[in-house]
Amino acid sequence: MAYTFSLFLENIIHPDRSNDCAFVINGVSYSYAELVNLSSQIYALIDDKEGTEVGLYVTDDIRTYASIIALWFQGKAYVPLNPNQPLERHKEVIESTKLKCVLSSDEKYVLDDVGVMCLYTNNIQASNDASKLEMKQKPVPDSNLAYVLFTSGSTGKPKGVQITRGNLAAFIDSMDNIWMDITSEDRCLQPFDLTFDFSVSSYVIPLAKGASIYTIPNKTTKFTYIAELLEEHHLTVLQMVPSMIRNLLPYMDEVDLSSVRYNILCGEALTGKVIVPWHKENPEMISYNMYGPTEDTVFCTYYLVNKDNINNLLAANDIVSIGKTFKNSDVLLIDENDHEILKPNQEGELCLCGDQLTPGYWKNDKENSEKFFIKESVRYYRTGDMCYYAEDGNLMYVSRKDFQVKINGFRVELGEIENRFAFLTGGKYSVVMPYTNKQGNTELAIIIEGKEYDYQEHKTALANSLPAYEVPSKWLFVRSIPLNQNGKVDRREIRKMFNL
Amino acid sequence: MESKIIEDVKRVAFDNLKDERIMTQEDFDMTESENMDSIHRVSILTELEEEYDIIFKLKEISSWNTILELASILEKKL
Repeated sequence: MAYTFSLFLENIIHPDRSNDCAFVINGVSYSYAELVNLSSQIYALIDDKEGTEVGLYVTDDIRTYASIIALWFQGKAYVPLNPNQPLERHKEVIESTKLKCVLSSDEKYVLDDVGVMCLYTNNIQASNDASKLEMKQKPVPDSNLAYVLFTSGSTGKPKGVQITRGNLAAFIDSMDNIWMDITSEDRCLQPFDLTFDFSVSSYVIPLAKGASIYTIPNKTTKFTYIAELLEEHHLTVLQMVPSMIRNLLPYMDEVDLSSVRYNILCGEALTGKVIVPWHKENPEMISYNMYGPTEDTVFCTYYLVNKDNINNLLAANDIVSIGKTFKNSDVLLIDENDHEILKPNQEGELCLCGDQLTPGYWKNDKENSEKFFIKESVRYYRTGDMCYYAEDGNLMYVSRKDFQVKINGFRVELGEIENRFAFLTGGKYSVVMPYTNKQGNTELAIIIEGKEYDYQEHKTALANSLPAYEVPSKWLFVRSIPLNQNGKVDRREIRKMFNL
Repeated sequence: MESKIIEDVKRVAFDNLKDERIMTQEDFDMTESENMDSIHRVSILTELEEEYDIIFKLKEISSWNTILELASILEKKL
Protein backbone atom coordinates (compact mmCIF):
# COMPACT_ATOMS: atom_id res chain seq x y z
CA MET A 1 0.00 0.00 0.00
CA ALA A 2 1.67 3.21 -1.17
CA TYR A 3 -0.60 5.66 0.63
CA THR A 4 0.71 6.82 4.00
CA PHE A 5 -0.67 8.97 6.76
CA SER A 6 2.25 11.32 6.29
CA LEU A 7 1.18 11.93 2.70
CA PHE A 8 -2.35 12.73 3.84
CA LEU A 9 -1.01 15.34 6.29
CA GLU A 10 1.31 16.90 3.73
CA ASN A 11 -1.61 17.34 1.33
CA ILE A 12 -3.55 19.34 3.93
CA ILE A 13 -0.82 21.98 4.11
CA HIS A 14 -0.13 22.03 0.38
CA PRO A 15 0.23 25.71 -0.69
CA ASP A 16 -1.98 25.17 -3.76
CA ARG A 17 -4.94 24.77 -1.42
CA SER A 18 -4.34 27.86 0.71
CA ASN A 19 -7.19 29.95 -0.65
CA ASP A 20 -9.70 27.12 -0.95
CA CYS A 21 -12.45 26.80 1.63
CA ALA A 22 -11.74 24.08 4.19
CA PHE A 23 -14.64 24.45 6.62
CA VAL A 24 -17.93 26.28 6.93
CA ILE A 25 -19.00 26.21 10.57
CA ASN A 26 -22.11 28.04 11.72
CA GLY A 27 -22.06 30.10 8.53
CA VAL A 28 -18.40 31.16 8.89
CA SER A 29 -15.93 30.04 6.20
CA TYR A 30 -12.34 29.09 6.96
CA SER A 31 -9.76 28.64 4.21
CA TYR A 32 -7.14 25.91 4.23
CA ALA A 33 -4.59 28.62 5.02
CA GLU A 34 -6.59 29.65 8.10
CA LEU A 35 -7.03 26.04 9.16
CA VAL A 36 -3.30 25.37 8.84
CA ASN A 37 -2.47 28.64 10.56
CA LEU A 38 -4.68 27.74 13.52
CA SER A 39 -3.24 24.24 13.56
CA SER A 40 0.32 25.52 13.63
CA GLN A 41 -0.50 27.83 16.57
CA ILE A 42 -1.99 24.90 18.48
CA TYR A 43 0.96 22.73 17.40
CA ALA A 44 3.24 25.23 19.12
CA LEU A 45 1.29 24.82 22.38
CA ILE A 46 1.83 21.08 22.54
CA ASP A 47 5.03 19.33 23.48
CA ASP A 48 6.10 15.92 24.68
CA LYS A 49 5.01 16.36 28.28
CA GLU A 50 1.36 16.09 27.18
CA GLY A 51 1.80 12.38 26.42
CA THR A 52 1.01 10.55 23.18
CA GLU A 53 -2.76 10.55 23.64
CA VAL A 54 -4.38 13.92 24.20
CA GLY A 55 -8.00 14.55 25.18
CA LEU A 56 -10.04 16.79 22.90
CA TYR A 57 -13.24 18.50 24.01
CA VAL A 58 -15.00 18.29 20.66
CA THR A 59 -16.99 21.47 20.20
CA ASP A 60 -18.28 22.47 16.77
CA ASP A 61 -15.46 24.96 16.38
CA ILE A 62 -12.71 25.29 13.79
CA ARG A 63 -10.18 25.06 16.63
CA THR A 64 -11.34 21.52 17.36
CA TYR A 65 -10.50 20.40 13.82
CA ALA A 66 -7.28 22.45 13.87
CA SER A 67 -6.36 20.68 17.12
CA ILE A 68 -6.74 17.27 15.48
CA ILE A 69 -4.40 18.28 12.67
CA ALA A 70 -1.91 19.79 15.13
CA LEU A 71 -1.93 16.60 17.19
CA TRP A 72 -1.41 14.46 14.12
CA PHE A 73 1.53 16.62 13.02
CA GLN A 74 2.93 16.13 16.53
CA GLY A 75 2.58 12.36 16.09
CA LYS A 76 -0.08 12.23 18.79
CA ALA A 77 -3.60 10.80 18.95
CA TYR A 78 -6.81 12.53 19.99
CA VAL A 79 -9.31 11.11 22.43
CA PRO A 80 -12.63 12.92 21.86
CA LEU A 81 -14.75 14.05 24.81
CA ASN A 82 -18.31 14.89 23.84
CA PRO A 83 -19.83 18.10 25.32
CA ASN A 84 -23.23 16.36 25.29
CA GLN A 85 -22.04 13.59 27.54
CA PRO A 86 -21.82 13.87 31.32
CA LEU A 87 -18.57 14.90 32.99
CA GLU A 88 -18.48 11.54 34.76
CA ARG A 89 -18.12 9.83 31.40
CA HIS A 90 -15.26 12.20 30.51
CA LYS A 91 -13.55 11.34 33.78
CA GLU A 92 -13.88 7.61 33.07
CA VAL A 93 -12.26 8.07 29.66
CA ILE A 94 -9.52 10.32 31.06
CA GLU A 95 -8.70 7.91 33.86
CA SER A 96 -8.80 4.90 31.61
CA THR A 97 -6.40 6.40 29.06
CA LYS A 98 -4.29 8.17 31.70
CA LEU A 99 -4.55 11.42 29.77
CA LYS A 100 -2.27 14.21 30.93
CA CYS A 101 -3.78 16.97 28.85
CA VAL A 102 -7.09 18.01 27.27
CA LEU A 103 -7.42 20.60 24.49
CA SER A 104 -10.58 22.68 24.60
CA SER A 105 -11.89 25.58 22.55
CA ASP A 106 -14.40 26.28 25.32
CA GLU A 107 -12.87 27.95 28.36
CA LYS A 108 -15.95 27.09 30.40
CA TYR A 109 -14.95 23.46 30.23
CA VAL A 110 -13.26 22.78 33.54
CA LEU A 111 -11.91 19.48 34.79
CA ASP A 112 -11.37 19.68 38.52
CA ASP A 113 -9.94 16.88 40.63
CA VAL A 114 -8.94 14.71 37.66
CA GLY A 115 -5.32 15.76 37.51
CA VAL A 116 -5.20 16.76 33.85
CA MET A 117 -4.06 19.99 32.34
CA CYS A 118 -6.56 21.87 30.15
CA LEU A 119 -5.03 23.76 27.25
CA TYR A 120 -7.53 26.31 25.98
CA THR A 121 -7.49 27.23 22.31
CA ASN A 122 -10.40 29.70 22.30
CA ASN A 123 -8.17 32.78 22.16
CA ILE A 124 -6.24 31.61 19.13
CA GLN A 125 -7.29 33.57 16.08
CA ALA A 126 -7.17 32.39 12.50
CA SER A 127 -4.95 34.28 10.10
CA ASN A 128 -4.14 33.89 6.44
CA ASP A 129 -0.51 34.86 7.03
CA ALA A 130 1.49 32.11 5.35
CA SER A 131 4.75 33.25 6.96
CA LYS A 132 3.50 31.95 10.30
CA LEU A 133 2.97 28.43 9.01
CA GLU A 134 5.59 26.43 10.84
CA MET A 135 4.33 22.95 11.35
CA LYS A 136 6.60 20.01 10.65
CA GLN A 137 5.58 16.40 10.96
CA LYS A 138 7.24 14.54 13.81
CA PRO A 139 8.73 11.32 12.43
CA VAL A 140 6.51 8.64 13.93
CA PRO A 141 5.59 5.24 12.51
CA ASP A 142 2.13 4.51 11.11
CA SER A 143 1.66 2.07 14.00
CA ASN A 144 1.22 5.09 16.29
CA LEU A 145 -2.36 5.90 17.19
CA ALA A 146 -4.41 8.53 15.33
CA TYR A 147 -7.39 8.44 17.69
CA VAL A 148 -9.04 6.42 20.43
CA LEU A 149 -12.84 6.36 20.30
CA PHE A 150 -14.76 5.17 23.32
CA THR A 151 -17.91 3.23 22.57
CA SER A 152 -20.47 1.88 25.00
CA GLY A 153 -19.45 -1.52 26.25
CA SER A 154 -21.96 -4.27 26.98
CA THR A 155 -21.00 -4.06 30.66
CA GLY A 156 -21.79 -0.35 30.70
CA LYS A 157 -18.08 0.50 30.96
CA PRO A 158 -16.89 2.33 27.81
CA LYS A 159 -14.24 0.58 25.75
CA GLY A 160 -11.65 2.47 23.75
CA VAL A 161 -11.16 1.49 20.12
CA GLN A 162 -7.61 2.34 19.06
CA ILE A 163 -7.14 3.38 15.45
CA THR A 164 -3.59 3.80 14.14
CA ARG A 165 -2.31 6.22 11.54
CA GLY A 166 -1.79 3.19 9.31
CA ASN A 167 -5.43 2.12 9.79
CA LEU A 168 -6.59 5.58 8.77
CA ALA A 169 -4.26 5.71 5.77
CA ALA A 170 -5.61 2.31 4.67
CA PHE A 171 -9.16 3.65 5.04
CA ILE A 172 -8.41 6.73 2.89
CA ASP A 173 -6.72 4.50 0.33
CA SER A 174 -9.74 2.16 0.29
CA MET A 175 -12.13 5.08 -0.19
CA ASP A 176 -9.98 6.15 -3.12
CA ASN A 177 -10.71 2.84 -4.81
CA ILE A 178 -14.50 2.83 -4.98
CA TRP A 179 -14.94 5.04 -8.03
CA MET A 180 -15.80 8.18 -6.10
CA ASP A 181 -14.10 11.24 -7.57
CA ILE A 182 -14.32 13.81 -4.78
CA THR A 183 -12.33 16.92 -5.75
CA SER A 184 -11.46 20.32 -4.28
CA GLU A 185 -14.68 21.62 -5.86
CA ASP A 186 -16.86 19.45 -3.64
CA ARG A 187 -18.88 20.69 -0.69
CA CYS A 188 -19.27 17.91 1.87
CA LEU A 189 -21.61 17.48 4.82
CA GLN A 190 -20.20 16.61 8.26
CA PRO A 191 -23.26 16.12 10.47
CA PHE A 192 -21.77 14.00 13.25
CA ASP A 193 -20.38 14.43 16.74
CA LEU A 194 -16.67 13.73 16.68
CA THR A 195 -17.18 10.89 19.14
CA PHE A 196 -19.01 8.96 16.37
CA ASP A 197 -16.53 7.28 14.03
CA PHE A 198 -18.59 8.16 10.93
CA SER A 199 -17.38 11.75 11.58
CA VAL A 200 -13.84 10.64 10.72
CA SER A 201 -14.92 9.83 7.18
CA SER A 202 -16.93 13.07 6.99
CA TYR A 203 -13.92 15.31 7.58
CA VAL A 204 -10.90 13.16 6.65
CA ILE A 205 -12.03 12.27 3.13
CA PRO A 206 -12.77 15.91 2.15
CA LEU A 207 -9.46 17.01 3.72
CA ALA A 208 -7.64 14.34 1.73
CA LYS A 209 -9.15 15.77 -1.46
CA GLY A 210 -8.97 19.46 -0.63
CA ALA A 211 -12.76 19.75 -0.55
CA SER A 212 -14.80 21.90 1.85
CA ILE A 213 -16.63 20.61 4.91
CA TYR A 214 -19.96 21.91 6.23
CA THR A 215 -20.69 21.04 9.85
CA ILE A 216 -23.95 21.14 11.78
CA PRO A 217 -23.99 23.25 14.94
CA ASN A 218 -24.76 21.60 18.22
CA LYS A 219 -28.40 21.66 19.41
CA THR A 220 -29.84 22.28 15.95
CA THR A 221 -32.31 19.91 14.36
CA LYS A 222 -29.99 18.05 12.02
CA PHE A 223 -32.35 17.16 9.19
CA THR A 224 -33.73 20.70 8.84
CA TYR A 225 -30.21 22.13 8.91
CA ILE A 226 -29.16 19.71 6.18
CA ALA A 227 -32.03 21.00 4.02
CA GLU A 228 -30.86 24.59 4.67
CA LEU A 229 -27.27 23.72 3.72
CA LEU A 230 -28.49 22.05 0.53
CA GLU A 231 -30.48 25.12 -0.42
CA GLU A 232 -27.87 27.74 0.50
CA HIS A 233 -24.59 25.98 -0.23
CA HIS A 234 -25.55 23.34 -2.79
CA LEU A 235 -23.76 20.50 -1.05
CA THR A 236 -22.39 17.83 -3.34
CA VAL A 237 -21.43 15.01 -0.94
CA LEU A 238 -23.72 13.91 1.87
CA GLN A 239 -22.47 11.56 4.56
CA MET A 240 -25.49 10.59 6.62
CA VAL A 241 -27.20 7.86 8.60
CA PRO A 242 -30.38 6.64 6.85
CA SER A 243 -32.56 8.12 9.66
CA MET A 244 -31.63 11.59 8.43
CA ILE A 245 -33.09 10.78 5.01
CA ARG A 246 -36.13 9.16 6.64
CA ASN A 247 -36.80 12.41 8.52
CA LEU A 248 -36.53 14.45 5.30
CA LEU A 249 -38.69 12.23 3.09
CA PRO A 250 -42.05 13.77 4.14
CA TYR A 251 -40.75 17.18 3.01
CA MET A 252 -39.21 16.33 -0.34
CA ASP A 253 -40.96 19.24 -2.07
CA GLU A 254 -38.77 21.50 0.11
CA VAL A 255 -35.49 19.60 -0.29
CA ASP A 256 -33.19 20.49 -3.17
CA LEU A 257 -30.97 17.56 -4.10
CA SER A 258 -30.01 18.90 -7.53
CA SER A 259 -26.39 19.61 -6.50
CA VAL A 260 -25.80 16.25 -4.80
CA ARG A 261 -23.34 13.87 -6.46
CA TYR A 262 -22.78 11.32 -3.71
CA ASN A 263 -24.62 10.00 -0.68
CA ILE A 264 -22.47 7.99 1.70
CA LEU A 265 -24.75 6.11 4.06
CA CYS A 266 -23.83 4.05 7.08
CA GLY A 267 -24.66 3.42 10.72
CA GLU A 268 -27.99 1.67 10.23
CA ALA A 269 -29.54 -0.81 7.85
CA LEU A 270 -30.47 1.01 4.63
CA THR A 271 -33.88 0.08 3.26
CA GLY A 272 -35.37 0.45 -0.20
CA LYS A 273 -38.18 2.51 1.35
CA VAL A 274 -35.61 5.15 2.24
CA ILE A 275 -33.22 5.16 -0.70
CA VAL A 276 -35.64 4.71 -3.62
CA PRO A 277 -37.72 7.88 -3.03
CA TRP A 278 -34.52 9.80 -2.18
CA HIS A 279 -33.02 8.92 -5.56
CA LYS A 280 -36.22 9.89 -7.37
CA GLU A 281 -35.46 13.53 -6.59
CA ASN A 282 -32.15 13.33 -8.41
CA PRO A 283 -31.61 10.12 -10.40
CA GLU A 284 -28.04 11.14 -11.27
CA MET A 285 -26.88 10.78 -7.66
CA ILE A 286 -24.71 7.86 -6.66
CA SER A 287 -25.16 6.36 -3.21
CA TYR A 288 -22.90 4.07 -1.26
CA ASN A 289 -24.42 1.81 1.34
CA MET A 290 -21.43 1.45 3.62
CA TYR A 291 -20.91 -1.02 6.39
CA GLY A 292 -18.28 -1.13 9.07
CA PRO A 293 -17.72 -1.13 12.81
CA THR A 294 -15.51 1.43 14.57
CA GLU A 295 -12.99 -1.40 15.03
CA ASP A 296 -12.38 -1.60 11.25
CA THR A 297 -11.90 2.16 10.73
CA VAL A 298 -15.32 3.51 9.79
CA PHE A 299 -16.34 1.43 6.72
CA CYS A 300 -15.02 -1.73 5.18
CA THR A 301 -17.70 -2.86 2.69
CA TYR A 302 -19.86 -0.95 0.20
CA TYR A 303 -22.78 -1.43 -2.15
CA LEU A 304 -23.22 1.07 -4.93
CA VAL A 305 -26.66 2.44 -5.79
CA ASN A 306 -27.18 4.40 -9.00
CA LYS A 307 -29.75 4.99 -11.73
CA ASP A 308 -28.97 1.60 -13.24
CA ASN A 309 -29.97 -0.45 -10.20
CA ILE A 310 -32.20 1.82 -8.12
CA ASN A 311 -35.29 -0.06 -9.25
CA ASN A 312 -33.64 -3.41 -8.92
CA LEU A 313 -31.66 -3.19 -5.70
CA LEU A 314 -30.09 -6.26 -4.22
CA ALA A 315 -32.09 -6.44 -0.98
CA ALA A 316 -33.69 -8.90 1.41
CA ASN A 317 -36.66 -7.90 3.56
CA ASP A 318 -36.11 -4.48 1.95
CA ILE A 319 -32.65 -4.20 3.58
CA VAL A 320 -30.15 -3.20 0.90
CA SER A 321 -27.01 -5.31 0.48
CA ILE A 322 -23.80 -4.13 2.15
CA GLY A 323 -21.93 -5.27 -0.95
CA LYS A 324 -18.32 -6.24 -1.22
CA THR A 325 -15.17 -5.50 0.76
CA PHE A 326 -12.92 -2.48 0.53
CA LYS A 327 -9.50 -2.77 -1.04
CA ASN A 328 -7.75 -2.98 2.34
CA SER A 329 -10.24 -5.22 4.15
CA ASP A 330 -11.35 -8.80 3.99
CA VAL A 331 -14.15 -10.79 5.58
CA LEU A 332 -14.82 -14.22 6.95
CA LEU A 333 -18.27 -15.57 7.66
CA ILE A 334 -18.42 -18.17 10.42
CA ASP A 335 -21.14 -20.45 11.76
CA GLU A 336 -21.90 -21.22 15.42
CA ASN A 337 -18.95 -23.61 15.54
CA ASP A 338 -16.54 -21.06 14.03
CA HIS A 339 -16.47 -22.94 10.72
CA GLU A 340 -16.12 -20.82 7.61
CA ILE A 341 -19.24 -20.35 5.49
CA LEU A 342 -18.58 -20.10 1.78
CA LYS A 343 -21.93 -21.08 0.28
CA PRO A 344 -24.61 -18.47 -0.40
CA ASN A 345 -27.70 -18.01 1.75
CA GLN A 346 -26.11 -19.49 4.89
CA GLU A 347 -26.22 -17.07 7.77
CA GLY A 348 -23.24 -16.51 10.04
CA GLU A 349 -21.31 -13.97 12.04
CA LEU A 350 -19.24 -11.54 10.00
CA CYS A 351 -15.56 -11.35 10.97
CA LEU A 352 -13.15 -8.77 9.58
CA CYS A 353 -9.43 -8.54 8.91
CA GLY A 354 -7.00 -6.36 6.98
CA ASP A 355 -5.04 -3.13 7.20
CA GLN A 356 -7.95 -1.13 8.61
CA LEU A 357 -8.40 -3.40 11.62
CA THR A 358 -7.71 -1.87 15.04
CA PRO A 359 -4.80 -3.20 17.07
CA GLY A 360 -7.39 -3.77 19.81
CA TYR A 361 -9.26 -2.12 22.66
CA TRP A 362 -7.39 0.17 24.96
CA LYS A 363 -6.01 -1.88 27.86
CA ASN A 364 -8.90 -4.31 27.83
CA ASP A 365 -7.58 -7.88 27.79
CA LYS A 366 -11.00 -9.40 28.37
CA GLU A 367 -12.65 -7.78 25.33
CA ASN A 368 -9.52 -8.25 23.23
CA SER A 369 -9.45 -11.98 23.84
CA GLU A 370 -13.21 -12.32 23.28
CA LYS A 371 -13.52 -10.25 20.12
CA PHE A 372 -10.30 -11.04 18.24
CA PHE A 373 -8.97 -14.39 17.07
CA ILE A 374 -6.29 -15.77 14.78
CA LYS A 375 -7.17 -18.13 11.94
CA GLU A 376 -4.45 -19.37 9.63
CA SER A 377 -2.12 -16.60 10.82
CA VAL A 378 -4.68 -13.87 10.07
CA ARG A 379 -6.12 -11.77 12.88
CA TYR A 380 -9.92 -11.34 12.76
CA TYR A 381 -12.51 -9.30 14.66
CA ARG A 382 -15.93 -10.72 15.51
CA THR A 383 -18.42 -8.01 14.59
CA GLY A 384 -21.53 -9.46 16.23
CA ASP A 385 -23.32 -8.79 12.93
CA MET A 386 -25.19 -11.63 11.24
CA CYS A 387 -24.83 -11.76 7.45
CA TYR A 388 -24.93 -14.12 4.50
CA TYR A 389 -23.63 -14.17 0.96
CA ALA A 390 -26.13 -13.57 -1.82
CA GLU A 391 -25.85 -15.76 -4.93
CA ASP A 392 -23.67 -13.12 -6.63
CA GLY A 393 -21.23 -12.92 -3.68
CA ASN A 394 -22.50 -9.64 -2.26
CA LEU A 395 -22.94 -9.56 1.50
CA MET A 396 -26.44 -9.29 2.95
CA TYR A 397 -26.87 -7.86 6.45
CA VAL A 398 -29.45 -9.63 8.61
CA SER A 399 -29.25 -8.12 12.09
CA ARG A 400 -27.12 -7.65 15.15
CA LYS A 401 -26.46 -10.93 16.89
CA ASP A 402 -27.83 -9.17 20.00
CA PHE A 403 -31.10 -8.45 18.15
CA GLN A 404 -31.70 -12.12 17.67
CA VAL A 405 -33.72 -13.42 20.55
CA LYS A 406 -34.89 -16.90 21.36
CA ILE A 407 -38.56 -17.38 22.11
CA ASN A 408 -39.66 -20.87 23.10
CA GLY A 409 -36.40 -22.09 21.63
CA PHE A 410 -37.00 -20.45 18.24
CA ARG A 411 -34.56 -17.87 16.95
CA VAL A 412 -36.34 -14.63 16.12
CA GLU A 413 -34.93 -11.80 13.98
CA LEU A 414 -36.39 -8.56 15.30
CA GLY A 415 -35.55 -6.70 12.09
CA GLU A 416 -37.56 -9.19 10.06
CA ILE A 417 -40.68 -8.40 12.08
CA GLU A 418 -40.09 -4.65 11.68
CA ASN A 419 -39.77 -5.08 7.92
CA ARG A 420 -42.82 -7.31 7.68
CA PHE A 421 -44.81 -4.73 9.63
CA ALA A 422 -43.60 -1.94 7.32
CA PHE A 423 -44.59 -4.01 4.30
CA LEU A 424 -48.07 -4.74 5.65
CA THR A 425 -48.76 -1.15 6.68
CA GLY A 426 -47.46 0.66 3.63
CA GLY A 427 -44.25 1.84 5.26
CA LYS A 428 -45.04 2.50 8.92
CA TYR A 429 -41.86 2.76 10.95
CA SER A 430 -41.46 0.57 14.01
CA VAL A 431 -38.93 -0.93 16.37
CA VAL A 432 -39.46 -4.41 17.82
CA MET A 433 -37.89 -5.16 21.18
CA PRO A 434 -37.93 -8.15 23.52
CA TYR A 435 -39.13 -7.88 27.10
CA THR A 436 -39.58 -10.29 29.96
CA ASN A 437 -43.17 -10.93 31.06
CA LYS A 438 -44.32 -11.54 34.62
CA GLN A 439 -43.73 -15.25 34.20
CA GLY A 440 -40.13 -14.59 33.22
CA ASN A 441 -40.66 -15.52 29.56
CA THR A 442 -39.48 -13.48 26.59
CA GLU A 443 -42.17 -11.71 24.59
CA LEU A 444 -42.03 -8.98 21.96
CA ALA A 445 -43.14 -5.37 22.01
CA ILE A 446 -43.58 -3.31 18.85
CA ILE A 447 -43.08 0.42 19.16
CA ILE A 448 -44.74 2.24 16.28
CA GLU A 449 -43.85 5.76 15.23
CA GLY A 450 -46.86 8.04 14.86
CA LYS A 451 -50.30 8.61 16.26
CA GLU A 452 -52.01 5.78 18.17
CA TYR A 453 -54.58 3.90 16.09
CA ASP A 454 -56.67 0.74 16.16
CA TYR A 455 -53.98 -1.78 15.26
CA GLN A 456 -56.08 -4.99 15.36
CA GLU A 457 -56.14 -5.29 11.58
CA HIS A 458 -52.35 -5.03 11.40
CA LYS A 459 -51.90 -7.45 14.28
CA THR A 460 -54.08 -9.99 12.45
CA ALA A 461 -52.13 -9.45 9.24
CA LEU A 462 -48.86 -10.06 11.11
CA ALA A 463 -50.35 -13.18 12.73
CA ASN A 464 -51.30 -14.45 9.27
CA SER A 465 -47.76 -14.09 7.97
CA LEU A 466 -45.53 -14.86 10.96
CA PRO A 467 -45.31 -17.69 13.50
CA ALA A 468 -47.38 -16.91 16.62
CA TYR A 469 -44.28 -16.40 18.79
CA GLU A 470 -43.09 -13.63 16.44
CA VAL A 471 -46.28 -11.57 16.76
CA PRO A 472 -45.68 -8.79 19.31
CA SER A 473 -47.88 -8.94 22.37
CA LYS A 474 -47.36 -5.30 23.38
CA TRP A 475 -48.29 -2.57 20.88
CA LEU A 476 -46.92 0.82 21.84
CA PHE A 477 -46.86 4.19 20.11
CA VAL A 478 -44.41 7.05 20.12
CA ARG A 479 -44.62 10.27 18.16
CA SER A 480 -41.01 10.05 17.09
CA ILE A 481 -38.70 7.06 17.55
CA PRO A 482 -35.87 8.39 19.72
CA LEU A 483 -32.44 8.53 18.12
CA ASN A 484 -29.14 8.69 19.96
CA GLN A 485 -26.45 11.32 19.41
CA ASN A 486 -25.24 9.44 16.37
CA GLY A 487 -28.67 9.43 14.76
CA LYS A 488 -29.25 5.73 15.36
CA VAL A 489 -32.35 4.26 17.02
CA ASP A 490 -31.90 4.66 20.77
CA ARG A 491 -33.13 1.28 22.07
CA ARG A 492 -31.97 2.07 25.59
CA GLU A 493 -34.17 5.18 25.63
CA ILE A 494 -37.13 3.21 24.25
CA ARG A 495 -36.66 0.58 26.96
CA LYS A 496 -36.68 3.35 29.57
CA MET A 497 -39.71 5.13 28.05
CA PHE A 498 -41.90 2.04 28.13
CA ASN A 499 -40.32 0.27 31.08
CA LEU A 500 -39.58 -2.78 28.94
CA MET B 1 -52.68 37.09 18.73
CA GLU B 2 -55.42 34.79 19.91
CA SER B 3 -54.76 33.83 23.53
CA LYS B 4 -56.09 30.29 23.02
CA ILE B 5 -53.31 29.62 20.51
CA ILE B 6 -50.71 30.86 22.99
CA GLU B 7 -52.21 28.75 25.77
CA ASP B 8 -52.30 25.66 23.54
CA VAL B 9 -48.68 26.13 22.52
CA LYS B 10 -47.68 26.62 26.16
CA ARG B 11 -49.52 23.47 27.23
CA VAL B 12 -48.06 21.29 24.50
CA ALA B 13 -44.54 22.66 25.00
CA PHE B 14 -44.77 22.21 28.77
CA ASP B 15 -46.10 18.65 28.40
CA ASN B 16 -43.06 17.82 26.34
CA LEU B 17 -40.32 19.78 28.06
CA LYS B 18 -41.56 19.92 31.67
CA ASP B 19 -39.96 23.32 32.15
CA GLU B 20 -41.86 25.77 34.39
CA ARG B 21 -40.41 28.78 32.58
CA ILE B 22 -42.58 27.92 29.57
CA MET B 23 -45.72 28.70 31.58
CA THR B 24 -44.46 32.01 32.94
CA GLN B 25 -42.34 33.53 30.15
CA GLU B 26 -43.78 33.70 26.65
CA ASP B 27 -40.41 34.84 25.32
CA PHE B 28 -38.52 32.03 27.04
CA ASP B 29 -35.98 30.52 24.65
CA MET B 30 -36.88 26.83 24.72
CA THR B 31 -33.46 25.80 23.41
CA GLU B 32 -32.28 26.67 26.92
CA SER B 33 -34.54 24.01 28.35
CA GLU B 34 -32.68 20.91 29.49
CA ASN B 35 -35.02 18.55 27.67
CA MET B 36 -35.17 20.42 24.38
CA ASP B 37 -33.76 18.43 21.49
CA SER B 38 -34.85 17.61 17.97
CA ILE B 39 -37.10 14.76 19.16
CA HIS B 40 -39.01 17.06 21.51
CA ARG B 41 -39.12 19.81 18.90
CA VAL B 42 -40.74 17.42 16.43
CA SER B 43 -43.04 16.05 19.15
CA ILE B 44 -44.34 19.52 20.01
CA LEU B 45 -45.06 20.22 16.35
CA THR B 46 -46.70 16.83 15.76
CA GLU B 47 -49.09 17.38 18.67
CA LEU B 48 -50.03 20.82 17.36
CA GLU B 49 -50.49 19.39 13.86
CA GLU B 50 -52.96 16.88 15.25
CA GLU B 51 -54.85 19.38 17.39
CA TYR B 52 -55.17 21.96 14.64
CA ASP B 53 -55.25 19.61 11.65
CA ILE B 54 -52.41 21.40 9.92
CA ILE B 55 -49.01 20.38 8.59
CA PHE B 56 -45.87 22.36 9.35
CA LYS B 57 -43.43 22.94 6.54
CA LEU B 58 -39.82 21.81 6.86
CA LYS B 59 -38.60 25.39 7.24
CA GLU B 60 -41.04 25.94 10.11
CA ILE B 61 -39.64 23.08 12.19
CA SER B 62 -36.57 25.00 13.29
CA SER B 63 -37.70 28.59 12.81
CA TRP B 64 -38.95 29.16 16.37
CA ASN B 65 -37.48 29.11 19.82
CA THR B 66 -40.11 30.85 21.97
CA ILE B 67 -43.80 30.30 22.69
CA LEU B 68 -44.68 33.52 20.91
CA GLU B 69 -42.68 32.63 17.81
CA LEU B 70 -44.28 29.21 17.57
CA ALA B 71 -47.75 30.63 18.23
CA SER B 72 -47.21 33.18 15.50
CA ILE B 73 -46.26 30.49 12.96
CA LEU B 74 -49.27 28.45 14.00
CA GLU B 75 -51.66 31.38 13.73
CA LYS B 76 -50.52 32.15 10.20
CA LYS B 77 -51.36 28.62 9.15
CA LEU B 78 -54.98 28.77 10.35
